[in-house]
Amino acid sequence: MKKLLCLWCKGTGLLVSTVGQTIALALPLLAATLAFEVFSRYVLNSPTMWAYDVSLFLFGYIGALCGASGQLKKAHINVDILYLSVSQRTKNIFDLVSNTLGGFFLIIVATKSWEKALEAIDFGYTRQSEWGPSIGHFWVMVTAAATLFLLQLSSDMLKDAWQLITGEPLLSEDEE
Amino acid sequence: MSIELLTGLLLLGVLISFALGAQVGLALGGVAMLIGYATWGEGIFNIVPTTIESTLFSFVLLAIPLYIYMGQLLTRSGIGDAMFKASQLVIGRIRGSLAISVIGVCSMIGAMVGIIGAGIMTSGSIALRPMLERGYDKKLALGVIMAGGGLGILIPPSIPMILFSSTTQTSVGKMFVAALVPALISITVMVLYVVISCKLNPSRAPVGHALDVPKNARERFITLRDGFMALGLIVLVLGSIITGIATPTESGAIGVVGALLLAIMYKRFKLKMMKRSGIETALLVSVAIWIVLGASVFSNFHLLMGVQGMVADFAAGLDLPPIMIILMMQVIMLLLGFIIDEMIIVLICAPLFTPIAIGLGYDPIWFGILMILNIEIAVQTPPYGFALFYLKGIAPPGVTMMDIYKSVLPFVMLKLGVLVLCMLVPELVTWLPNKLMG
Repeated sequence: MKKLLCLWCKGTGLLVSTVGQTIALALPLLAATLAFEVFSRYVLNSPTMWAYDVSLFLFGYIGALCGASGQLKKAHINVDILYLSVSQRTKNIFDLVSNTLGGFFLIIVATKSWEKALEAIDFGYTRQSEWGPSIGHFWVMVTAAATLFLLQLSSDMLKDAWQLITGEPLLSEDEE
Repeated sequence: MSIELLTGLLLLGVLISFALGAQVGLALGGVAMLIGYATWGEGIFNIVPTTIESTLFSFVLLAIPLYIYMGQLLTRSGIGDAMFKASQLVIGRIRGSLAISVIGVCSMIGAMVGIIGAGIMTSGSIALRPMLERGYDKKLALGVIMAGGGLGILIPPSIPMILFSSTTQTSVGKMFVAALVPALISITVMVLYVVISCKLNPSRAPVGHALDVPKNARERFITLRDGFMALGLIVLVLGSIITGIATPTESGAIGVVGALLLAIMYKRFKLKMMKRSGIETALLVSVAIWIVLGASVFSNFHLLMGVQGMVADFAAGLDLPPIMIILMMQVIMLLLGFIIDEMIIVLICAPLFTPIAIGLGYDPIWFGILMILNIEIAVQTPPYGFALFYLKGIAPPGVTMMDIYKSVLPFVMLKLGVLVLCMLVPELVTWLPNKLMG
């Protein structure tokens, strides 16, 4: 049982950090797209039609998909005034309750985005811009980002539940 | 359900989830949707996709990753060190020079990264140890780092200002320009405080260079060039906005390209550094975006339920002079700043308070700058201002929370003075943007 749970947590962690590190590579691309737009406007005297949409898509992909990675690295901001002063057992209970609330929100994000994705693909929706690129992939990506975040939350909740029941951490510090 | 009861329930839900240590963005979204479902049913969930669209397709918010990336590239390539050394070459012989450099350079580094936490941690990791090793008074050393790093959100480019503009439909460029005079006043009063304090009590700051500044002329020239080129990049970014050459978002991209060019020029460019900066930036961006998303869902739900009318009625019912209502809002934001992050305060308070301020006849840019000044003070006010804990995180062993509390108090009082001054003389904020941008 412990092995299976460890495998789940490590597998999720690996997936989440791989996605995070891969999508971070889009940052130079984002800066280059916008810098090219300024260059194209002033030097080539021919503003692009696509830079605005491409940069917004890249921004959305980076912001949404790295959310799970932030959870893995405990980078998301929380108010820890009370949290830091309670016992490990109470911390586990706090985490289980707060992650359930967070999970509820993420389920809404995932299901509503999936509905929008299906609608956008069925009806061939595009962005309301001059270039008008297809928008279906964006909603699929938001669904994937929320699902990935949910996976990481589930992994964290498993660790908390295990520690609450057995009194021992599921993964050692090295494994974490 | 009445809006008053709904507001009470929302606040209670948020307080409980914050007390449990929940991630702020998810907690705000979760509480709003849970209470929304209980009162409105499933239909309320449709707020979520529209909010996702407005958040992730916001050209204003798109500036966030670019400014953070620029800051990461500049600080990771050692340009922060170069700025310190350059400033020491210029003023190194003045008593308290390192503390003065810290105020100047930390505010620049804070401005580059645009977020208080990152500003204080980056500045502190560069400057705190050299000051303590040189025998600077512990309280002075800690205080200037907190004060300088905190200034980062007041000096453009600033992430909270971008968030304010995004939620209130005001011009980011005007906000950036409007912050310049208050920022300059803040820096001046803090430098004066350090000079006078060191003059009255010379043991607080020994004379002499605190950093290994180069001795020969060629190295001195290179140090000065490196430091001032970094400063020049910030001026270039801001200049491109003021002159209208680029939007604030595009200026961020220009800043990234400039930071990369500087790193290459200084022979500090490494692919590994670029990759690490990218990963760190992506992480910070995702943190910001999920907070913006959760807070916007919360805010949109609350606005849909009619909170704006409730707050307006409440303000009108108080029958107070307009400036007192502004003062009341400031006190609320100050109290919020003791427990929550600067981004969340802006996202919750800006859409709620700004329309009321405009209704009372005030300039939204002026109100926005007051909000930023206020938050800057709140997050470093003892005992719970969260920026205090960032400083504790990077302080060497032996520095207690009490040391940090005592160190920030004089600077908090000075910043409070600047806030009151800007509140009483709005032209200090509005004159420059009106002059330059109409």
